[in-house]
Amino acid sequence: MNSLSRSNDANIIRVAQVIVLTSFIVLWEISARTGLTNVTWTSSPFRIADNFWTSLMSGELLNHLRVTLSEALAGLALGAAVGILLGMVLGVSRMVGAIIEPFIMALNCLPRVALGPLIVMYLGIGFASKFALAFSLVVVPMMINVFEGIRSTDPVLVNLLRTVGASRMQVFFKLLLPNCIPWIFSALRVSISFAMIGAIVGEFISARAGIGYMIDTAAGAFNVTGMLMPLIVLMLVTFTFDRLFVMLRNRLLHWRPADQR
Amino acid sequence: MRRDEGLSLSIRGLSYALRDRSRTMRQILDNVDLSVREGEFVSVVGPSGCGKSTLLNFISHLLPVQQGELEVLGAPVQAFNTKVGYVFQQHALLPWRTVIENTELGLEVKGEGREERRARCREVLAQMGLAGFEDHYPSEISGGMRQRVSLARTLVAEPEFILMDEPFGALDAQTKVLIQEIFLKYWEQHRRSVLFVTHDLGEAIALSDRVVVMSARPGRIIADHVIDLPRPRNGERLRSNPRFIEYHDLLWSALRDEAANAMQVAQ
Repeated sequence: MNSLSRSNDANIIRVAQVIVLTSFIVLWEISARTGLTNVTWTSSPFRIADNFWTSLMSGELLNHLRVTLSEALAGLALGAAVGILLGMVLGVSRMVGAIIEPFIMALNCLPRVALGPLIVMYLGIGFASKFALAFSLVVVPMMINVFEGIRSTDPVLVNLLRTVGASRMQVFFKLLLPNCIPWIFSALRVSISFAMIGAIVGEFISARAGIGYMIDTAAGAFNVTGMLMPLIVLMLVTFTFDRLFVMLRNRLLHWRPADQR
Repeated sequence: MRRDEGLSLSIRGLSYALRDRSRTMRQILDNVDLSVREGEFVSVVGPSGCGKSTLLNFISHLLPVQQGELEVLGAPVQAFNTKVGYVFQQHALLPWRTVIENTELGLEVKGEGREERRARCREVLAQMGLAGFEDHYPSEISGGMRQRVSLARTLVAEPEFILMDEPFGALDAQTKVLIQEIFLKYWEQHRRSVLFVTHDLGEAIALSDRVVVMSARPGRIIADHVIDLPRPRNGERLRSNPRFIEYHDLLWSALRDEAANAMQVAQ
């Protein structure tokens, strides 16, 4: 396919996406206004936008968002750092990797959000418990991805590095680490939403602030608009992070043909 | 032309057995004796699976010696030797490095200064016909070019002894002939010791001073012929030379039964 028709395709895709989004919003609004749907149950785009504006102006929304984001991003940062480190240790050391592998997989099979009540019991209802929950959700997928990334290294390339006299450190930094980068990024993309889930679930269990707290409070008042608004805001924020990761990845993987990044 | 008559490689009684999936011991190499003189180009031909590549792995220290004696550049093999270059069957380029960054890998690992190694790489890349492609990524160049980068990476480190494992095996016929010529020209200028593994008899005769034939598994040396054809050689004219055809017939008669054996074993 030539580049002209490819950029043409990209335009068609963009236009189609805009059409899908606007028609969804317009249909939702129309059905709410005509009484086809009950605004008590499903709210309406206008109500949500209005609620958003009020909450934004009063500073309430940003306050809660800041709390949730700091919990989730701190959990993501430490979870990613520890996960990458563990994944590398396991990937590099055959012995340690083989011993620990079933434990990691078992941990991965544990529904970790269910640890929430326990973590709140241990760490209280403040920042620490949400951070810990986000961390626990992030660390395992990060570790598994990096582990797989290390193990996917072409053995011919390892042999090449060894025959040119590379030390273990050189093999790591010149081969294993760069080889892992695509895996690290796909893990980060999954992990950003895991971190948000961790923070929100922690706030559901018990909290005094945060997006989860906002949703929980609105639910108590039977306020669907008040539940949907913070939910949509959080979705858009998480989506922005995902796009940022994709951009960063494409920049780091610029050596790959565009359709293989 | 040769600096002296020292040995770059001396192998005596090298044997190697491996436990296969069904847990029975299989003999891969059986009592192999082989030597390469300094500045000599020796090819090893043999049916697929005869242990040709395994032999190179011993010499490069990728595999530890089980049984037998092995001396490379006058010393027993105890570590990876940067004076020994290895050109793999696959181009083995790091996809995230440009052509020149791949070429300088060995020099970089050795800790050579950036300016100097870059200058040397440019020179060798130009000799390989890759001038102007220094900043391309491997995904942006052809298979033949990738293999030339792989050659350049080995040659720029100026190894005293070069191991080559079917380096042109994956290339199409025309590309193969062109790269053989580029390499032959380079080799005839520099005369480094080479041990070249291939299953292509014509290629072996065209390039080598000596061709060694290995048997089907377990690999043994069953023939060893000096190729007395004048240098510098020209690949195309060489192939119609009656002596070339004689050598081909001679070596093929040794190889044919082994190739047939290997096929039966495989079935």
